[in-house]
Amino acid sequence: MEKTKKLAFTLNLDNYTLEGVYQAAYSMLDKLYFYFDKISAKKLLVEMTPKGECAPQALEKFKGEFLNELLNSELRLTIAARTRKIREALIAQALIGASTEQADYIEDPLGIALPWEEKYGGEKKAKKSKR
Amino acid sequence: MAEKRKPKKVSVKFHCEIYKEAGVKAAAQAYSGFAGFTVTRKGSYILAVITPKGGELPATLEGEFINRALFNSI
Repeated sequence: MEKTKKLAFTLNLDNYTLEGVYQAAYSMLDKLYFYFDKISAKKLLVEMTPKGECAPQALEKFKGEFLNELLNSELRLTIAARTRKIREALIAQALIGASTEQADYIEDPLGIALPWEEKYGGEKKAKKSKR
Repeated sequence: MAEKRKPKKVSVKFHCEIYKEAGVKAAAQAYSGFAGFTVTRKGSYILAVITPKGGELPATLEGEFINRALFNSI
């Protein structure tokens, strides 16, 4: 059976970001050895070598998996960039809400320290008396 | 008299827009127990020369070193 040692191809950096390539490669580091080189400003050389023996078809399959993972990464990056402001706002709001400078546990604005009987006991009795 | 063989060196070029020099150096440090590493900067490339400590370089060392350099650069 014929064994392939290495598979090389180029990626156009107009279509993919370097960060996306990093993420996709990272997800497959356990199966393949990766080597990247920049051929020109917009062309990235990708060399993948399988860890252990691998048939040519299997290596082509790895390439397909890598390209799919690359698309996944690009989508994740796009969504991350699109939702960045809202995520930052949510975190900021949560941190402000949790800040000890504004909230005072002695004041107890939500009435957490109040016993249940004191909070609801009176109402129940009032309901019973109506019947 | 038996001729003494020189250990075969392997050199790897890392493009500095893809790999970080600190990442390559950290990878070299991580695998320094298996081989000798020299990392130098040459233009837009970081050149790493791997010198085997015994007779031959372990088969997977080069690949593992490159993967570690990539991992450290992410």
